[in-house]
Amino acid sequence: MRRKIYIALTAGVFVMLAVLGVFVFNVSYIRLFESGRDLGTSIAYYFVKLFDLPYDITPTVTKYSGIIPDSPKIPSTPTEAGISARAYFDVFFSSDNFRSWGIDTAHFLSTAALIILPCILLIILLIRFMYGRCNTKHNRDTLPLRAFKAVSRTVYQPTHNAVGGYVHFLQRHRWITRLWLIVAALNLNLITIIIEFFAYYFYFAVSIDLSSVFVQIRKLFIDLTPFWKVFNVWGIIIVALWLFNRWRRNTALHTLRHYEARNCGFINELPIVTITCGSMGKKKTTLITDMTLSQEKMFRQRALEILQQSDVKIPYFPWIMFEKELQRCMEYRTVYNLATVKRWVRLKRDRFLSHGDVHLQLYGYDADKYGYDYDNGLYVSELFDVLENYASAYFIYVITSSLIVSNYAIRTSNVMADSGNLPLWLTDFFMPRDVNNSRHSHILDFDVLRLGRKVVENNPNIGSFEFGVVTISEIGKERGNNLELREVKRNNDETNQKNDLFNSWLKMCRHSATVDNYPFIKVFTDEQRPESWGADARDLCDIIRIVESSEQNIALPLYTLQDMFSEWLFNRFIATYTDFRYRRGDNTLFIYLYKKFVAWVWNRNVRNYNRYGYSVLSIEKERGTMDGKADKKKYYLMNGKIYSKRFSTDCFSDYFNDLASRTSVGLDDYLEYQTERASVRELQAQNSYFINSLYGR
Amino acid sequence: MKLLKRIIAVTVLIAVALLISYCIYTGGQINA
Repeated sequence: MRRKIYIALTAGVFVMLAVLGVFVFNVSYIRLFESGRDLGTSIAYYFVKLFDLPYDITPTVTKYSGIIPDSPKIPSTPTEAGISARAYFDVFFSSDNFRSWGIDTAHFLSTAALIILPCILLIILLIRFMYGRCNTKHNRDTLPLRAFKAVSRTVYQPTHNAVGGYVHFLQRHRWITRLWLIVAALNLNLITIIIEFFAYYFYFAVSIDLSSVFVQIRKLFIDLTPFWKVFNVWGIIIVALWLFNRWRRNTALHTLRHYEARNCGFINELPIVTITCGSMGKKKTTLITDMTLSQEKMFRQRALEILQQSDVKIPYFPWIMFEKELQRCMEYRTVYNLATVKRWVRLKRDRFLSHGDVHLQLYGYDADKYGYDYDNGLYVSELFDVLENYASAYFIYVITSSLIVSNYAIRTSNVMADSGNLPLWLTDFFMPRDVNNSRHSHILDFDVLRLGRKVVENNPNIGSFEFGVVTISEIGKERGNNLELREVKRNNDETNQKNDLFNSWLKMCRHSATVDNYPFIKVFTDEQRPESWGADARDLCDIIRIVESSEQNIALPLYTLQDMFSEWLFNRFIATYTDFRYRRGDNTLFIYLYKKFVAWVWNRNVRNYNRYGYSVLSIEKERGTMDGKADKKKYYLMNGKIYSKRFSTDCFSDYFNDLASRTSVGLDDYLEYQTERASVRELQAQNSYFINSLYGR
Repeated sequence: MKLLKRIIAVTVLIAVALLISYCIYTGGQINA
């Protein structure tokens, strides 16, 4: 039933537009034929002039319309326009005009103030009078609010739902709005203006007739006559605001992507292992999570680059067939890591060498014609070497799960677009994505990073880790430093930091991860002090120290006034609302409407800051040996990327929750001091080493 | 910095509003 109403409504709008076109904007359609004639003669003129052919064509684009009457308000010659402009600016810069404008403006402002100020005062007094009395009628609506809600329920809500449903219908059938826009553009003579532009373009390209430019400008103003019938000043303000908002959002996204590119440049400068340091709350884990997300994206991009370069190395190879066979092998689990990828390509090579079947092993690639080798100027690679690189890069590229392995959960929102050929990754952090399509980082089993003894001796994951982004928060607490490990012995029976050869893995990890000479591995760690991690491992790193984090900025240009209004309104509301909450327990109409409006403004501001806000971290990068000079750098933390449920800042909170849930005591149960000076009994209740030593305990 | 930015924004807004008002007023005077 509802669908039928929507269809009828759509047809009604079309009929209305058609009726308007026939009775109000019929001139636009006749003018459209004129513009078609102008375009035809201009194109003909263009070609005869271009090929220097004999012709008897008069371009009509330089003539005025015979349909829309000329406006006497528009100057007919450049000289007349100059005289009008001079007359305008003579008055504009005249002191008498300025003085009379000042008097009129002052009069207008004082009149407005005389009306508005008493009204505001009256409203404030009225509100104070009405809401000054206290009550405890919890959650009871006042009579005006009940009446408003009843009207809203019967009038506003059904209308809102109907409009919302229809908008949804239009979103599902976008062709309707497109067709409306085309008909509206025809009615308003805008299509004619576009056709006239091309007609003049063809004419001007071969005539270079500068004297005709003024005529075109006049024609443009005359052609806009139907447009001005509909769009008055308010219409233009609404369209201008919409365009301004659109421009602002696009500029902000461009800025954020630029900052992301700068972050990627910074990450690329880093060695394979880094440790990020800073005191608590300095955004250490935020920074390594942000770098991890960027690095994962860069690994996908780098894998794609290797695919593209390999493709060009052997340009006539049927890569799509190779990819599809590899994908099948991945589905059947014949291939599940880089080692098995290489084994698969070697097997293919051996089979080809023994049988020479190009159809089965090389998918019909005419190797005799196109060659078996690739010469890069330094050395010659075999076809199967290139295939091995391609297969390894493709394996890394098409893995649908995250490339991140971490000791805390990180959400990734990259989406693979696959139409059955070469899949493409959508890795832009600033486009809205469905959270349900997210993947999370893999659980880091530290045994996979140990080359020596393992915590679980028969761990099935041993030796499986080859490539990816390894992210370890609080590395010092896991690995310890030389001082903390003084009592730990290498030849202990149990696995410990000295006999697990984790540091050896760190030093050699790039060997398993290298494809086409590029290491697909990065290790990001954090700790409060770099010294908390043993020097043997730390010396491999670059140390990133977070000096300070800037306040929140927003990439939306010209946002100051909106931000200011939102803040001012919220603060005004909170002052009134807190007082109201203290005095009264019921719900009133004024507070209901006021809160609704403030919530809308405030939420809009919050969303803008969440999407387009960023802060700048001032960081210092130094060598892990800590004997060099620190480089000052900047890193951009963009809210839309890092604060969209990427990780939990209290990632180890469940440990403390577990501890707290086992006790029967809360903060409210702790003993309080009875006076400003602690008694002996109160001091002893501290269980302090110092106090206990004073009392000889 | 934030305060300065806000003062500049409000000043520019008022100046632009007055300029537009003056332009329209001048146009009105000429047409009259």
